[in-house]
Amino acid sequence: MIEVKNLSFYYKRNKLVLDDIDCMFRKGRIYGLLGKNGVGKTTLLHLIAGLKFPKLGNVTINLSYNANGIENEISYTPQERKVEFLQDVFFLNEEMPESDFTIEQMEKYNACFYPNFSAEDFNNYLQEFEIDNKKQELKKLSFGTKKKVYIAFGLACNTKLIFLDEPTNGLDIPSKSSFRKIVMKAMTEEKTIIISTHQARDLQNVLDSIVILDKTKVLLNADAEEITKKLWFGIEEKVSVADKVLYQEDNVAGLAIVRENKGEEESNLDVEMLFNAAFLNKNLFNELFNNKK
Amino acid sequence: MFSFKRFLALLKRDLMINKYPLMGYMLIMAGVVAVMMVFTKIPLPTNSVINDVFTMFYLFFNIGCMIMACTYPFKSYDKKYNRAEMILLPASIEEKFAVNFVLAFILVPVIQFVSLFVGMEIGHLINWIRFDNYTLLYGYSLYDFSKYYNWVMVYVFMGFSFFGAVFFQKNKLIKTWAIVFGLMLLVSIGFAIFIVNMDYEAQSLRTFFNTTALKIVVQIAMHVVFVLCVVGAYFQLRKERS
Repeated sequence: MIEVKNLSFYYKRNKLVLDDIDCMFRKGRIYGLLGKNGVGKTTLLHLIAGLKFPKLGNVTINLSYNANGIENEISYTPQERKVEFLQDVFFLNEEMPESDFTIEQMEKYNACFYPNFSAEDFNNYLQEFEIDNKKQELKKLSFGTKKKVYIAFGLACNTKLIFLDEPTNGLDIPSKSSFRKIVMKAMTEEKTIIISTHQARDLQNVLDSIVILDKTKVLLNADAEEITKKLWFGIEEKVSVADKVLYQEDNVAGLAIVRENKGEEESNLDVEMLFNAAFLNKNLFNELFNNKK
Repeated sequence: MFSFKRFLALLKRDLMINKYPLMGYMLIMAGVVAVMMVFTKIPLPTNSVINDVFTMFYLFFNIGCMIMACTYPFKSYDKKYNRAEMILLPASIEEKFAVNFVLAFILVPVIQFVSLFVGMEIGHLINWIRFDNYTLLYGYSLYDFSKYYNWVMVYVFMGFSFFGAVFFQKNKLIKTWAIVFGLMLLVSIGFAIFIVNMDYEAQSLRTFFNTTALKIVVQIAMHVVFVLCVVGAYFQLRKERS
């Protein structure tokens, strides 16, 4: 479990990026981290992974559990960068590192640092992405292919924490579908995956929980089940004021809407609609999802 | 806990990443020295040729070490995304630091030595082909490697470079050596002003500057500076962030 407490961060003193935020990321879930450009999504991921240090507050990570799934008392502060912690973290940045390695060399010289790395998983994921030749040099690959290699490697490391910053950016349509399959395959009860993305629709079927950042604060942090229990997503031909629509947009089939779900009707979460609705109804979202910050 | 296994894996990884730049550097260095050997020869009436081999070797060795110790270690931290990868690579700060220490203070001098030696031999060979009665005479020089403090001087210069390599992320060499030479200039000016303005009564100080006491002070200072550079680099690496 990742616990973020009273976290503040700035690059320039007079311009806070994150201001006193609290949130929690539980194991066994895939989180979608959403927000407008420059709101601090990548910064938050960097702070959780220990790539940046908080100005105020702290991040505590507990990765060990006993046989009953209850947390042990060993917890990590990411900025300490302890080896045991790093062995359980994989971070895929939006841009990949520059490397002269071939895929094979990358595996050979990096995998040895990750005790749970599975060569079999790596090969399977590469196959899923239709990458057959491991002798290819990384620098000669296209941006998308290189990203697929890093995604495959990251998931094959079988770390308990996986941070993916815009993972579907640059992937072609079949690869996006492969990515979803691979993520679902790689997911276990022990892992926490946090995906920062603007391509909300690419990933909405794999996300278990949604975190939306807005101007230095967390606007929403809720599980998909809770969201669809409290909000209804669907298409209507007409809407009236009485429907209390939170967000609507034209759609070929009618009006795509988000409204409060009073009668516990079932619907499928539409992350993009949720995002827009949240920004238009901040106070209501705070009330509905009991966000403190 | 320091793991020797991880240290070796890191070292191997780094050498693999940098093998081509290192080989390129060695070739260039050897070539430059060979050319210098040919052009700085001093033919004597006895059909002999003098090269001030020791001075040239020492000079090139020192400059080469200075440059390489600044540009080669911590190379993986230069670019933003490589830096993030390196920071999160599962090895301790001490292991990562030790690898860069070995690269800077052991591998760099070895590479330097090998390239210079090869370059000089090529230079000799060219001279031998060009001159009928070629006999190489080594010119006299203060700078030979049998003197401990000549080594210390090389390592102090490398110490500055090593610190600059982790402290700066861009234009490391220029920034490091602009600062070091700037400081050296300031110290020299300050020292000159001190000497010029010295009272007649303080003549005994002049004697002090000529004694071995000063040498000892300087020698201790050199060791301290080297240690400070290395320790400073370690703490800088601890603070490294993406």
